[in-house]
Amino acid sequence: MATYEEYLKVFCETLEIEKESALGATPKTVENWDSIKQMALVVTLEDTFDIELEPDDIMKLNSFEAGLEVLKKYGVISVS
Amino acid sequence: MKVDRLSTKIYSRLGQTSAVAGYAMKELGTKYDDFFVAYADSIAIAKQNNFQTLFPEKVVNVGIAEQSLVGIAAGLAGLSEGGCYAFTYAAFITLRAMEQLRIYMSYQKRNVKLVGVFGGYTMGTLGVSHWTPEELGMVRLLPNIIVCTPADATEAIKMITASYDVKSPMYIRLSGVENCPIVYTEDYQFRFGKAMTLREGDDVVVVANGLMVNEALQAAKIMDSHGIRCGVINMHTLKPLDTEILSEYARKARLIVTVEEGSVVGGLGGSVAEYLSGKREHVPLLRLGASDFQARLGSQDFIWKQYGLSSACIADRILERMGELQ
Repeated sequence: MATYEEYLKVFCETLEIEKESALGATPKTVENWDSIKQMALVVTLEDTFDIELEPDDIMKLNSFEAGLEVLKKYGVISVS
Repeated sequence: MKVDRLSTKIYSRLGQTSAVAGYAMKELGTKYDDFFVAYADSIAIAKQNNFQTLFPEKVVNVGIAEQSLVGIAAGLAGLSEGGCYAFTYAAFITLRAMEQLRIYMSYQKRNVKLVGVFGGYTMGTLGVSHWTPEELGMVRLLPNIIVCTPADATEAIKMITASYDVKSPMYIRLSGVENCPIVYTEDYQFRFGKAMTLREGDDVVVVANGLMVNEALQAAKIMDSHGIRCGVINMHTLKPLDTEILSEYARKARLIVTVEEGSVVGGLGGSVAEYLSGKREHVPLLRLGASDFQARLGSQDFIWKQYGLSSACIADRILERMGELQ
C-alpha cells in the first residue's frame, strides 16, 4: 500500500511543480498540465501503483485531490 | 528526450502523432525561432493546439487545401533557415498534392518536412480515401526527397527532432495511434538512412518499417520455435535506402523478407528488389505487404489480416517459403 507522500512525489515530479503547489492543483493552476502531461500522469500513476486506470477514472483525474480519490478507489493508497 | 521504460510507455500511450506534437515539436519550437509549421485545417488532427498556443508566430493554417499547403510550405521554406513543417492526413498531403510535391518541393529541393498523420491503414473504417498503401512508393519516385516512417512513438519523436538538422525535402509517415506498440525501450542513436538491426539472425532476415517492425519482431519469435534464426531490421528510411546493411545480409542470409504496411509494389519491397536485382548473385526475396487487391473496409487489424500482415501470418509465409527453398 502506497502512502500520501509517494503520491505527492509522483504527482509533483510528473507535472514539474513544487510540493507546496500540489494542494488544489488543477490544469487551470498548473501551466504544464496539458493533455500530454495528463497522459504522462496517467501512465506514471499506473506504473508506480501497478494499476490500470479505467477511461472514466482517467477523465476524473483533473486535480490533485481527484487523483487521490482515484487511487483510493483502486485500494492502492492509505491516507491517514 | 528521455528514453527509458516509463517514458516509452508514455509515448506509446499517446501514439506517434500526439507524442510528436507534445515532445518533438515542443522541443523544436522552444529551441529554434527560424521555422514555420503549416496546416490544412489540421491543427487538431495533428494534436498541435498546444503548439499553436505556445508558438503562434510559427503557425500558418491554409484551410482545407492540401495542394496550397505544399505550395505555401515550399514558399515559407524559402523565407526561413529552419524551413517549414507541414502536417495533415497522410493520404491528402501526398496523393492529392503530388504535383506540388514534385514541382515545388522535390525539384526545387525546398526544406519542407511533410508529415502525414494517420498513414497506412490507421483510418481503416473511413475507407480507401483515407488509406495510404501507395504513398511511400509514390513519394519515393521523386528526386531529392528523404522518405521515412518510424517504428514506434519513440522513434517518431526522434525522427521529427532529427529532421530539423537535415535541410532537405522530406516526407515522414506517422501511423501508430494511441497505444502504439513499443519497439524501443532504451535510448539509441537515430540517423536518417541508417537502418537498425533489432534482432540478429542469419537464416532469414526480415526488413520492415513502420508498425510492421513490431509484427516482424513477433514473427521472429515464432520462427525461434521452428529452429530458424530470424533477424529483424528496422528500415525506417525508405529513401535513401541503407544498402550497406542489405548487402551484408544478402551475403549471409538464405532469405530476405520485406514487410510493410503498404503496397508491395514501389515501397519497401520494391526498393529492396531494385537493389538486389543489381547484384551479380542475390538471395531470394519474399515481399509481404498490401498485395494487388483492395481490402474490405474495417479496422486496421482487420485490413492487416486480409493482407496477411499479422505476426502469425508473416511467420507462416516465411516458413512456407523456407520450405520451398530446401
